Amino acid sequence: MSSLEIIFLGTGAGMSTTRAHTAIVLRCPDGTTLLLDGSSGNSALRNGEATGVRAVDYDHVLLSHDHQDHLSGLMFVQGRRSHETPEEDPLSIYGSSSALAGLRKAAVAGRVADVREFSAYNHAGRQVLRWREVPCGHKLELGPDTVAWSFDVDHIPGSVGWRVESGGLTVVFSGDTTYSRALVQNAQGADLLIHEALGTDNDYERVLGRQHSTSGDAARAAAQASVRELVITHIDNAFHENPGPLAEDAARHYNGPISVAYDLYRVTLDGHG
Amino acid sequence: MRITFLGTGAGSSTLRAHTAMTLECPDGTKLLLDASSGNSALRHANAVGINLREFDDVLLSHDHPDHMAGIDLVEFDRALFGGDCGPLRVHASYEALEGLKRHSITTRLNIRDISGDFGRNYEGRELLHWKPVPPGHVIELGTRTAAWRFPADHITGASGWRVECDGKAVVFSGDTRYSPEVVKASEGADLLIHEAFCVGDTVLADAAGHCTGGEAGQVAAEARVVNLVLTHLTDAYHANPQPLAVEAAQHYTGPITIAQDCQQVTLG
Repeated sequence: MSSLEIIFLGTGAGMSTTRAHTAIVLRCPDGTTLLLDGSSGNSALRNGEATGVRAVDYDHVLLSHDHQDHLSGLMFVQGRRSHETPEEDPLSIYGSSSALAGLRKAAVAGRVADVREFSAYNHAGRQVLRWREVPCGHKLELGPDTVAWSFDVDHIPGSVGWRVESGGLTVVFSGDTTYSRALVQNAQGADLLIHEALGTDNDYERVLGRQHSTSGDAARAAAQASVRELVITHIDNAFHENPGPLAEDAARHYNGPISVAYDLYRVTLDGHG
Repeated sequence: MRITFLGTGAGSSTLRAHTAMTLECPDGTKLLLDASSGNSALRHANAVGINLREFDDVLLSHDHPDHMAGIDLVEFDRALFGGDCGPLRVHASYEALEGLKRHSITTRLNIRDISGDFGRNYEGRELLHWKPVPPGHVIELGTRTAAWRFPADHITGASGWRVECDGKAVVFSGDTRYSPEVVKASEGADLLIHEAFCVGDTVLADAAGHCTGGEAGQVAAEARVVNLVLTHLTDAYHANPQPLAVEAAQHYTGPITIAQDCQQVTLG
């Protein structure tokens, strides 16, 4: 029986001072290793090391949007990857055109020597990053039995969520978003929905004003998409030590299993067969 | 004077946060030396009960991303939650400040205008105050706290810092090869915080712009400092840093400590 492992390397909101910024690893049944977002600083590397995932393990990176807390850490991932194995393939990255514009800014700020239109080269002249723009709904073949596609969500222009299917299992990641109908459509029947939440329904207006979801929004999406399990992430300091209110808020709208992620949290999905 | 190590890892580290430390002086002056990357400085400060919003001054060693990129989030956190505190003052060489300005305007996390003396957000609010410091120039940072910058041997504009308060002196080497400038600036210091990259291979260290544990010990001995702390560790020395200390001890007979993330040292 095949299984798909999800490892949360970073689960903090942008202004978190208690958690690493967003990064999630998917260890797929066919051996493909995906990184969803890249956190900031060397957080993805440190929490990867703590969970047995190394920079050279990543086959592909899928970006949600152009915010530095979701992608600036990729510069340290590529640095470590080429430091460890200079002949390693460049880090392969997919995203919307605006997310890739943000990636190029991060590469310049991260002092990658030569940043071009679709790739970047280090001081030794080796290609260390390459990226490709992916239109929403375009199915990417990322491994022998792994496909993924992105869908529009509502946060900043060019924000997307991702649906990943591998070995008969499906994981959907919301990225940063308010409640999204497109997400509900694209998350139909998923084994796991990883959805962001910045607060509870009590704080609906402030959360919406910051273009994020409440845990109630996340759970409504989970219920409407009939997913098997919901994990809430992108946690603000207010809920770091006591995430209970997020889970309780969600449980009012969704009957399936709900958990609130924390750094180094792991979920294993077992195949239906 | 209390020193807190918020990050003690080299640029390639996968086990430690990148370089940052705080100095809290007896006269109430609070200084951040380097800013790590990502939100690491904020997270480790929070973990030891230090509120970085109370820190008005940053002393920057150089403009490599592992030492400065975290300023983005330190500044953003201060701007959002620090009340009506003024801009965060960043003291550095002219070259390092130019590098930081380029970084800030590239990431555009919060800074949209870097002209003149300030980095400003989209509303024109002054969030960062650029303070170029000539080498050897003494800056007064508190009623009894002064600091000066000295050149380090790493990249153009790289510096170390000496901070003094109430007769106690702390020196931070920044990233550097063995340098007589660091020896001169560290003369008689109570604490020298020196980087150490590897053991034995001075050619390798030199090529990387860094120094060996032995060279750090040599600086400590020649400057007759009271205590030596080694920092900026690569993964190879994370679990067992003893070889760095052993090599430093061949030159320096005083107490040697290897810095750890979130470690605190109190002087005096």
